[in-house]
Amino acid sequence: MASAAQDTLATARSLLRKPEARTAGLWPRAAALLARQALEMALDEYWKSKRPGLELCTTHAQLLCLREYWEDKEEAGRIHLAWIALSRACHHHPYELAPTAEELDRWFAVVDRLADRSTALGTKVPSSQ
Amino acid sequence: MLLTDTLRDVVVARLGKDAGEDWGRLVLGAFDGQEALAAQLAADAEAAAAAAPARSAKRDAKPSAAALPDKPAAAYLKSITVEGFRGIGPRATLEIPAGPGLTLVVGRNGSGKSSFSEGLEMVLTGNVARFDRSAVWKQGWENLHHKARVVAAEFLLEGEKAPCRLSRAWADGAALEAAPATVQIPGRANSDLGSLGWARALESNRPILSYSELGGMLEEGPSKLFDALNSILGLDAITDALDALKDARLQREKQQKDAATQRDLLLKILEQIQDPRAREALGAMQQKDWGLGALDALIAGEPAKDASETDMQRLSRIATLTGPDPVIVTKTAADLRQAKERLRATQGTLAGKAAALADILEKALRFHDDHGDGDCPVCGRGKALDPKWHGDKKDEIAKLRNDAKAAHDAQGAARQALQQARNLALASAAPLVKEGHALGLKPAAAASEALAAWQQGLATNEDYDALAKHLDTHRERLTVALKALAEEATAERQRREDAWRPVAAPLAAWIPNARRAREATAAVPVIKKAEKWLKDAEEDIRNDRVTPIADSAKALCRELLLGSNVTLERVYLAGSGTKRKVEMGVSVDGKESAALGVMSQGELNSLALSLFIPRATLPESPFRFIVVDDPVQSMDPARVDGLARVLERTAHDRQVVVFTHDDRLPEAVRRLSIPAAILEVTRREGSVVEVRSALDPIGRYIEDAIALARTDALPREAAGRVVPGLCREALEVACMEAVRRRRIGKGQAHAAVESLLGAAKGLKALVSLALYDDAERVADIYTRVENGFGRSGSDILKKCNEGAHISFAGDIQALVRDAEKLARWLQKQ
Repeated sequence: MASAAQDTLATARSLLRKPEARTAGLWPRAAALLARQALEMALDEYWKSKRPGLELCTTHAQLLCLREYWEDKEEAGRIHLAWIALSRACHHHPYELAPTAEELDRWFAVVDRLADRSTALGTKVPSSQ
Repeated sequence: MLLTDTLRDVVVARLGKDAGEDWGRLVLGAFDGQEALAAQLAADAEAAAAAAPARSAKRDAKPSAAALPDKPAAAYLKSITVEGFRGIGPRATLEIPAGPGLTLVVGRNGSGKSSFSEGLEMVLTGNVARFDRSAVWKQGWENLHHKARVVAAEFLLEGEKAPCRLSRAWADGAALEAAPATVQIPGRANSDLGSLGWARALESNRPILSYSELGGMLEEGPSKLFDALNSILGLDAITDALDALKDARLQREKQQKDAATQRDLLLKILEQIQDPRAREALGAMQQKDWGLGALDALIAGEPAKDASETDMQRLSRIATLTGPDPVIVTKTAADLRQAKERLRATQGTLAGKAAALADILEKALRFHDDHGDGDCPVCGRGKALDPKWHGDKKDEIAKLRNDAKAAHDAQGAARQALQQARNLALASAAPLVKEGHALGLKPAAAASEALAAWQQGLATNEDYDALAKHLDTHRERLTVALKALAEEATAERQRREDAWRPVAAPLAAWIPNARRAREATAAVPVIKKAEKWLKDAEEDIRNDRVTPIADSAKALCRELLLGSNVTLERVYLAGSGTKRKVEMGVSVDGKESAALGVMSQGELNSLALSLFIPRATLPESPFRFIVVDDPVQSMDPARVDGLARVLERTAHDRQVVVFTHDDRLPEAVRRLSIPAAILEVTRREGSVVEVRSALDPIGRYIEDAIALARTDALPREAAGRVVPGLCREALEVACMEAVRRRRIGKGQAHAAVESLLGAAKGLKALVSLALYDDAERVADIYTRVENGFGRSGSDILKKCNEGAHISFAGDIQALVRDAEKLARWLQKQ
């Protein structure tokens, strides 16, 4: 079963894949927003299994901690970067263009890996409740 | 082929053992530049001259190692200073750590950051590529807020203690291109850009990557791309080498042609000159080898090979002919006549008879003295011997003796006079007259006759009077005839000289030209062979060269396009001349596609950067730095991590300076823990540009650690684990910095230092390396830290190191503060 994070990411993907008149022009930022949510949800899920309580911190703090808990420091860095980039893309910076579908795809891939890992962790180590 | 091979290495490998052949050496010489080629040709000509008698004799001359040009010194960038140029008003200097490593220069658009990169481009190349695209740029380069206009850059040159400063300054109102470059090295006279020997590298290893332009180039068609890659990959050198060979050949052929033209002209002149030397020269010059040896002798006035003397020398001798000395002739004639007179006077008084009679009479007188008066002992006449007889005979003896002497003397004088006459025969004149005859001198006939008559008369006249008369009557005639001959010889000599001299001068001038031309032409077949080989091998060499660069580009491209369905498969430079093209194979989802059209602009730019980096970091380039202006701007920002990794890897053995307008790249560098110096450029009102150092890696880790330590929601146990981890990374970075600075400062290769650091596993090993320059002295580090830093040092070290395993339970904020202090101390070790 897909996790909430994976579901959210799927929605973000569908914005990219299925052009809809209603979302024209809005989809890049909307997709970025959804992807960032998915990332944060996956992170949340990850901490709940790995180190409960950390999910209550700021995302920045969580991402800094990820470096220490995630076995692949580089991937942790990449997740951090993706979150920073997605946050940037969410906001309407003046004169800054919305991300392209291709860029979004790359960030989605990072979120995907995090979500997969969190889900796997969640199934492997059932929560105490 | 390896990427570290130079183009020359590629050529050497392809030449194989032919590198030792005369033409093979020329090929290599051509790759070392025109001067080296000229030196090689000169050396070969000398060797050929030395080995001329036995051309095939082995010559183990080495490939032109001696002719290799001095390699320009490797250079790192130390600073860029800009004043009154583009967005920078008052003088602003960007100091860059001068050594391998990554430096990011961050500044918003309009901060003046690009003015530094353009300033560097300007100072190095005298132009800014971007300015060429539009007149607007060309006019607006002067900063309105500041008057003085200077761009300068400092470089650390290998083998130089002090930095080398390269600058360009503009006079008031001067055009963009009107600023000459000045090179200043402390303790040396200022010189120009040429003294650094960078011209070629600036063309083929351009260290400033304005690769957005290349991105455009990728779309401009196969031959444009070919040229771009050709020059990017430094393959212009092949064309240059071919040109050098061709130039050398043409120059030689022209020399030969010029000499031949001059020869034809000289032949025409010589044909009209009667002088035998002209005829000789004509004959020599018509020889296949232009008879230069014979011409040398002719010009020097030396006799031809089979002659003992030249005509000119003969004429000179004939010109010395004179008649017999008139005083001697007159005296001889007088002597002859006198001798004749004396002989006549002593005629009848035969000298011998008188002497014998005197002897007898003397004996008779002695007999009379011994035996007294008496009869004649000979005829018996009685009493013939008496004192009177004695007295008479004594007188008679005296007379007889006198007569005998006079006769004897007269004969002697006559012999002498005769001899004297014979001596006037002028024996030596005869061969000269004969030579005069042979040389066609008209008076020779008369002289010959006169001389013959003179000599005949001398030989045949017995009578002294007749002989004297012969001398008197013939001397005049002979003298006149000989004088005429001598004068004619002189005149002939002058005539010949007058005719010869005008042609001798140009001929003398022509000979060295002709000789040089002939020597030069001797090399033409060899040059042709070298040209043919290089032409035939051109495509192969090019691709031998391209292969490692393409491999490197493919790897970079893979990294930059990580996750993309597009892969660069191959880069091949095919054909030459108008048929040149680049075959660039990319595959999309594993399917080969020849077109670049499948790539997005961002991907094209990534591809361009992938091609650019291997080119700018070729081993033959003297530039140990590359400058990339705003790569994130024209690249897919989602690939910024790939870009950061590529830059990191490049920065292992190169100084990489990246200008960027936003914080995506600095962020990536930070999150991926890539060691980099980050400089921030800001611009105030009035174009006042300031540069300040942003957080260094230690500061970045500490900042993150502080942020976490202050996060209230963070579970205590997690904080106790994560924060010491960040502190540990700060300490590790500090140790690495100390080791790098020390070892690289001692001239150790960057790659060696990096592998040493890579091999040091864990914080303690790194601290040991930082403190003792030895990763094995882990046991001693605590004492040293306590002594140097303070008693708390070893405790901080232990806490940071253990955090990963045992959660730290103490005062976390205090730990971060202490760790920062320790890191700053370690950094300085």
